[in-house]
Amino acid sequence: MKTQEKFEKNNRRQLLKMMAGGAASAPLINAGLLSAGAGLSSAVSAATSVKNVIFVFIPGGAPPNTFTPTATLELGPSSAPLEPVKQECVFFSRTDMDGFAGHGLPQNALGGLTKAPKTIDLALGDVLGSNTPFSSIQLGVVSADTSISAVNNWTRTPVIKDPAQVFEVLRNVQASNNPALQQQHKQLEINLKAVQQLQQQLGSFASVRLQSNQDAITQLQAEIPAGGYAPGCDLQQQAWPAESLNPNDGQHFTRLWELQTGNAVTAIKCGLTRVVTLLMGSDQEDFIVPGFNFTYAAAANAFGTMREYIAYRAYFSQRLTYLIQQLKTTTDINGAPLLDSTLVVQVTNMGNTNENSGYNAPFMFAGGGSSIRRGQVVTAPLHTQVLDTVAQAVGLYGKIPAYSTAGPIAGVVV
Amino acid sequence: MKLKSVSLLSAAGILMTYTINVQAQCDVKYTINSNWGSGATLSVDITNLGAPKTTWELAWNFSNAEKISQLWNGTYGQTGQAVRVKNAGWNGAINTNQTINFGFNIGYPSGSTLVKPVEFYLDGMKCVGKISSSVSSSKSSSSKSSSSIISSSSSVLSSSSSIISSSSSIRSSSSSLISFSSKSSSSSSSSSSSTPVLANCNGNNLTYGPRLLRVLTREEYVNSIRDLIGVNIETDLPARSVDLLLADSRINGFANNTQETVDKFVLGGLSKLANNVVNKAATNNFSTLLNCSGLAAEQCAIQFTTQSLTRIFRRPATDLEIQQYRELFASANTSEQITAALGVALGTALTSPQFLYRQETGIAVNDIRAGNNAASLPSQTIDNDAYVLTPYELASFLAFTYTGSTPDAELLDAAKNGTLASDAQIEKQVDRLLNKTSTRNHLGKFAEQWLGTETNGPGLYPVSLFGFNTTVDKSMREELQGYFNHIVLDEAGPFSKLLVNNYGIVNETLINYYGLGNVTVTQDKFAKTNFPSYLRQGGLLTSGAFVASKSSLTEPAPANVALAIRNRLLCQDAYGPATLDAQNLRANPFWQVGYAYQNLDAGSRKRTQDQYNNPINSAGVFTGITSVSDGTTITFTNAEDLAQKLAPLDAVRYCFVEHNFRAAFGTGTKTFDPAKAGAVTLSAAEQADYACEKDRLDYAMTSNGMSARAMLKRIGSLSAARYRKDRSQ
Repeated sequence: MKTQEKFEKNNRRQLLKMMAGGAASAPLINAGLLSAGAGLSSAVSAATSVKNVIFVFIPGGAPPNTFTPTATLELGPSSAPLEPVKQECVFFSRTDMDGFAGHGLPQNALGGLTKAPKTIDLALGDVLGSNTPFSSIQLGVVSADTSISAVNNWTRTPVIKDPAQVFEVLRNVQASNNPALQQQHKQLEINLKAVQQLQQQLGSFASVRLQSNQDAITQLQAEIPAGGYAPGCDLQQQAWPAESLNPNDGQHFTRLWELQTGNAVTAIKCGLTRVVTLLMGSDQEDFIVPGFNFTYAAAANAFGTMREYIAYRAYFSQRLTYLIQQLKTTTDINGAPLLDSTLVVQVTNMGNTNENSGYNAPFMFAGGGSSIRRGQVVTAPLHTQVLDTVAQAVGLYGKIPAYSTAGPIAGVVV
Repeated sequence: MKLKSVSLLSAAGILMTYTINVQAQCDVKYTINSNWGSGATLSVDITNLGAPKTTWELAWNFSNAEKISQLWNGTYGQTGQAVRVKNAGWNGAINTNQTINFGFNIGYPSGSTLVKPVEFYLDGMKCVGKISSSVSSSKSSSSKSSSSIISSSSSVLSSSSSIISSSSSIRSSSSSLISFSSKSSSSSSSSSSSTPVLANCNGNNLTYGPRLLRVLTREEYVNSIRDLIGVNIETDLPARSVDLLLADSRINGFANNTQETVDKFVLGGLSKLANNVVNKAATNNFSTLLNCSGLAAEQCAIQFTTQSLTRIFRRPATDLEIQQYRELFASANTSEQITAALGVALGTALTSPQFLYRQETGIAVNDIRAGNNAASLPSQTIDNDAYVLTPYELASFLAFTYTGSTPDAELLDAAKNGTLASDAQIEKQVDRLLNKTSTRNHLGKFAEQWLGTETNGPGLYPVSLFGFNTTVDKSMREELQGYFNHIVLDEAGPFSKLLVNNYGIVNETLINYYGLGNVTVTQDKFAKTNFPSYLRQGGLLTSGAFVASKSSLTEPAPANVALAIRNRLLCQDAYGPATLDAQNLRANPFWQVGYAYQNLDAGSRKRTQDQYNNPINSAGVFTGITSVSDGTTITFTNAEDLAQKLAPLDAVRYCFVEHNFRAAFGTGTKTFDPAKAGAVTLSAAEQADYACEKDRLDYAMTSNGMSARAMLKRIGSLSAARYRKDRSQ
């Protein structure tokens, strides 16, 4: 190529690279170099049914071709236990792990190795949990020292594995927050009156914007129990089951899972948090569950038909079904099923632990109410796009750092 | 097209000669046929040097109080000293090289000198042909003069004449016509020693700014918290706490939250951030805000509601607000935990609309007339639909405009004591604010937004090229901010020095990066450093930050450079041809100016070859100076040459004034958002008011040695700052 041609071609590539972010008629300098302006606008919908999110981490992916159902929701052997709740679910197919798959960096399951400054559970917690005692909580079951929640990609948030300890913390915080919640109501009331006073003073000037401010305050007020504990939420009067359970003993896995999901459901129902991360087992898979006398790691890496791996994976699906059913039968303070306002997100750290590969990783949604098109199988090329879809579901896509460059999966969020 | 070789004494005192390609539209011969000391008869010969015309309009400014009493062979309009003459019904046609004539009588004050105009505009284009003025017979002592081309301070505009050509290209971005009875060339900062007659202003009539209710920008919120509470959100709180704030809306490159809304998600983030601020401040008992040590709870509550709330709300709390906050304080003080009670009260105040919004809405004129004394009426006539800012609102406007933060105690006291009323009082406060450290930070941010350098180019890339890294990136940004502040605030230097100079403000990192050899500074501090001309040129237009922010991986991207020059420097609001022909970019007159910077690499260091070892070609022609289609041109050989030619231009200076107006008032003088034409339209009255204020700001600069500081200072005492109306926004 002649040198001049090379020069011009390089300039063209540079120009087109610079142009990539915007249309030809848009201000190129802004499209290329500066943010076009990402102000939080009231035009962006806060009218989503999804108010809460529960991330469920199941390590090890799934045996190939055993989890993702067919287009008619015919489940595979690993996902068969989800039969009672499959119509509540969105199954993502052909989903590859973005960036990393395997042991040792499980925070990638929640976008911890992307350019976003923190994993999605923590990022959502910052916003959704801004008015709850806990911005988010991280719970585990026989999870060793695994954590999938991280700030700055590497600083991980500890996980509480003992359900009794979790309950105690929830109860104590609720007690200390009740006066604080009442206080919060008063604070919001003062600012509501201030906005109304400003509206009165200014008449029609900026009326739409001030109305949005007023609406924001009243919405926040509605989410705070003003007079004390909501029905079924007086944890001070509840007793913890008198069971002696070793939180590190996989033989108690089933019961530990029931208790931890109970804590998660309670925390959400009673307004103690909006975001929960639940870990089933550990990233290294060196745990057992009832009915097995070999670890998950051993099952997954056994030679042969993967029968043991499938059995383990089906066990985990049973546990997930339990959680979804708990959310279905537990009502929120308005009497509606919690599942209608809670999005359950199954995440994992790889596609298939037998190969340590990142292909076809089993990600799925459950619940979320009318904002989610449930009962379908949707292609999602990258797991980080699934995470962006979670953000979209709660109305925060574009307001928190994105996890993928391709954006949310179409056809999931209404 | 004629080539003109012009020598100019630049504002920096450097004699520069360069060649301008200008369409020479006309020759004008302005003849004083007779002068009797209080009146004169004159004639004007117009020779058309351009394409044949079928109609014509000639405009100029008288220098004094001349007033046309009769005119023949044309029709005229005169507003103040601005005159426009149109053809009569029978002499509109002028062929190329043909001459037509009109004449007129004037009266003028006895004893004053009849001075001939030096500039004429034909159909909006400056006549640069053989402009000559002569006296055929005269009793005055005025001498013959042959005026040369280009006084750098004026072109013609008329604000209220009914014969304004709406298609005049001059009106788009060029400087205003300024004539004044006493011209000041001193560098003193007085801006009110004489009342200028400005082309876009209707005498001393009031002009009105927009009523605004703006959500605090991130900078304003962070600075306010720092100054009120003593908590630095960016360093004292967890990383990225600032992300809990509403992301700033950007309009024409400047943070602008005049239209933003506090919705539920925004309020949620603000609540969380306020909690974090309060918790941090509680660790030292809120000592920056108030001192309650040794006080009973009730006394502390009184101090909070009468003093602290005044600072947080930027005005005294009302009786109702005081009562509400005292009740809140008492309810939170259940265990005599004053600190906890303070935290609750402070958290409430920091999420209140009184804190979150900058209120510039004023008191209605009719309410003031009916007895509301929160604001005072001016001595001039004020429109019935106008609003007058209260002294506290004005204090808030001044504080945020100059320092990017909440008003300090002295400013609030001035508002309280009624010593923020006269222009002199306002200017005194502004002088004080201009000397604050926070002002330097704020103006540094303005400079970045003006030149579009907030995100430097190479800093965006994952690999470091040519030694470019985060340290160099940071140093370049500090260099730009520091240099801007040095010229504007420290030296009160001429505007052109901002753009081009023979020195810079650099540190050791940049000395090494730019290859400045033996120049040293102490401990990597920034210091004024002379630049050998063979190594680099000082000034913002060739600064590292400016060049890097317009660069791709290896070199300045021509399209980015072209857009920066057209839009950031010349306010053309132009984005290029509808169809981008990337293969023939250089050949397109719109983009060619972008190639001037090819003699620099992405880090603004000189080069003679590109990354493929091809010789660089940085010469070209910049077509369309005041507007894309005006046909004016400047030839250039490289970035430094282009910068030197741009620096003294009226259009560049006037555009800078435009950007300052936008930064202060949240709107341009003609458009709210040039990228979204039609979304918000400014009315004709609004544009007229803003054009006048822009003229006033420009006059403040041109009458004070081109000092940008003087222009900045003038913002505070503009009529539009204090008097507002409901506007298009």
